Amino acid sequence: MPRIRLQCASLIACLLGALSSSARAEQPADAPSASSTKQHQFKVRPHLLEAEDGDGPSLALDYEFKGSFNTQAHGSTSVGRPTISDDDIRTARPGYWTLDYLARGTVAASKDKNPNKLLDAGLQGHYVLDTVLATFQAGGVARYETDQSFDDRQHMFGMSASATRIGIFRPLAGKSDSLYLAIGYGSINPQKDAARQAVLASLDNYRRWDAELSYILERPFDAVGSIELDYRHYQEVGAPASIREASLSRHRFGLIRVNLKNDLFIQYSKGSLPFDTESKRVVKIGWTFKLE
Amino acid sequence: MANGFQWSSENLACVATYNVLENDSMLDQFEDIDLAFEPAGETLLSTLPYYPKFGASDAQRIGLGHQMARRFLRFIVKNYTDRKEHAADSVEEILTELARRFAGDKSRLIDLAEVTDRFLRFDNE
Repeated sequence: MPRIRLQCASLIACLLGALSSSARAEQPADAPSASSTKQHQFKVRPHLLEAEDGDGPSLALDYEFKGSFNTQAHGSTSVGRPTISDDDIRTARPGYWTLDYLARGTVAASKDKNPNKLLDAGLQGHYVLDTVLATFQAGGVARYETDQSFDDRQHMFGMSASATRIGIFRPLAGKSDSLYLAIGYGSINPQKDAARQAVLASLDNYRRWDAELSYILERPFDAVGSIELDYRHYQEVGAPASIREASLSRHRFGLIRVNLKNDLFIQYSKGSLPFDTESKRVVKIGWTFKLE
Repeated sequence: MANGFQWSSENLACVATYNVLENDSMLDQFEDIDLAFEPAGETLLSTLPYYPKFGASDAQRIGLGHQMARRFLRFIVKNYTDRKEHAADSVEEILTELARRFAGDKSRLIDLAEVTDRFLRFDNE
């Protein structure tokens, strides 16, 4: 079993954290609440990356552009009355349409050490329905995906749905927790894919479903802010035997992250994302700093 | 964000926001020994334990924002005030505005308190 090499360079990580920055343009909070809303944001976060086959830490930069446009929330609970009851809050079911755009990924000084290199740019329109049971979302998505070098790239068009709930295993955990489940299904249009090209004669469209399961346990111990578990699964539908034999039909990515106080974190991930040809294990130790 | 709104111990919306987030029997997101009231107004909600720190999608942030908003409003109404500033406001509007603050990774406690103050009437008003 490959040995995981870990070099703790928290001082360097702190310096990198201090270089993080973000910017945002947003509708003022005191804008009329009955109107639709819009938000835009840009964020970068440097960190150190260490892979099992690496010969030392590598500098990396997470980046993210995103924004959204929302319609007014539907619903008329308690309208015309001067007070709100607990029953009003439990039965209210706000629903609205939202249009989101997103571009995110990781750029590393060494491409070979970067398992999170999937650059994800997309446009998503979906309906949000919040109930006392959970918050549900469903809609359509169009995405452009590429690897870090932009050598491999593809378009994806599909549908997605998700549910989020806080309070899953509270009686067992003793603290609050949350669960997020998302499922997607779509058509992949590969523009360039060296690994598939090497196995198949041509790059035909194919169908893929994906799923994500994310669990957050809040404050399990005094020194720990939260523990996050995340699992992502990508599965090609009806993949040819040659693709299956080349281990290109399925990608699985798992992660556990312990968020300590003072924005320090320890993170371990294992697996591969689309375009990866092999699974990797990575440990990150870092510090997140958000610059106003 | 919170244009002209001041984080103050004289403002019950700020006190209620802080207490609901801090209290062990409510949202229990931090301890007062770690985060005192005065500096808490500028604290980002995204640094609190409920908020995902690893590459979360917008859908996850929005979902968690709504889930936190409903719990937050229930504690506010139960412990501080059940009176609205405007009778024409719906609970859905209030929940959605609170959810936007809980989902935003640049939202601060003062921004949450501002929305709370904008929609709810406290005893000192």
